[in-house]
Amino acid sequence: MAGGVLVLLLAGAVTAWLLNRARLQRLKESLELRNKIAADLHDEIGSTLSSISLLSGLTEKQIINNQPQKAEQLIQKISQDARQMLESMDDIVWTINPRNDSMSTLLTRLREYAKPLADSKEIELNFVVSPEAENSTLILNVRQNVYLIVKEAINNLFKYAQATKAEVRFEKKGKNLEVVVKDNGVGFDSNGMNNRNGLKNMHERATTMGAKLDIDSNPENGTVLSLLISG
Amino acid sequence: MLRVSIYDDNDSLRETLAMVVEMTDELVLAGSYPDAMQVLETVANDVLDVILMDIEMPQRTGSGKNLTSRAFKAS
Repeated sequence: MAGGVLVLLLAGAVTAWLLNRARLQRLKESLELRNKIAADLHDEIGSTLSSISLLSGLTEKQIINNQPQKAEQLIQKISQDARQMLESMDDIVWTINPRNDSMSTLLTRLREYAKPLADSKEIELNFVVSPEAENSTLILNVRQNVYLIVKEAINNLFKYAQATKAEVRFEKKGKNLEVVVKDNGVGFDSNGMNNRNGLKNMHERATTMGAKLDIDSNPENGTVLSLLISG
Repeated sequence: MLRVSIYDDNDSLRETLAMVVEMTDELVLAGSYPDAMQVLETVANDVLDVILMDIEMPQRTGSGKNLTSRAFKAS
């Protein structure tokens, strides 16, 4: 009889402990997400708004000083900044939205981003996704970093590669997810000033995810970027 | 005329700061760099009066202040 009561108490204690642990885990995830949103907003939106604020003040000064060409130059920069912020905001909101928690929405978004660019540059772009890859799940941080790395790779491709063909491939290698972006262009100088920050960001994102990023680029074979995310 | 160098990895903000400096009569833009780590080499080589630097480098805490004091000593 006493034994039965003890077992019940033990079961109760274990259940309470498990529930508490689950609750703590949810709190931790929630905190991570809040920090992440704060950091993204600060980095992407905050600095560009500072830029717009500075530019606006300067534009007013140039108009008062009767310098319309300088004012125009400044206003063009303001427009550019505003457009950039819209894109960043759109990305941030999309990532946070729970509706977009699947690989297929990630792939759709990448396709929708890349296709108009490919068409305008007359580059043949193929998306190759294995069914296992399409069904895999990624946590929020990983998903956002993968999206931004591939987006940056696609941007570099369209800006610098001078390619005629490009491919974005998502495949499962065992438990790991492999993403490859390759083109038949002219390659790039990985130390060149132009893409230094973009490349630095890509490597930083890969490190944050604990993923492996390799970029192989030369004039004969074009560029191959491969990202391996451990599952 | 004050010589100004800018170090900020945010491209948009760096370009804006460069425009601000160029459009201000009393200031001359000595250089604009996307990497705050370049401050040490450039400070040794250029004549600079003002450094505008982004000291927020999230991956290495404390290195912002470290960099500013090393740059000051080198100049």
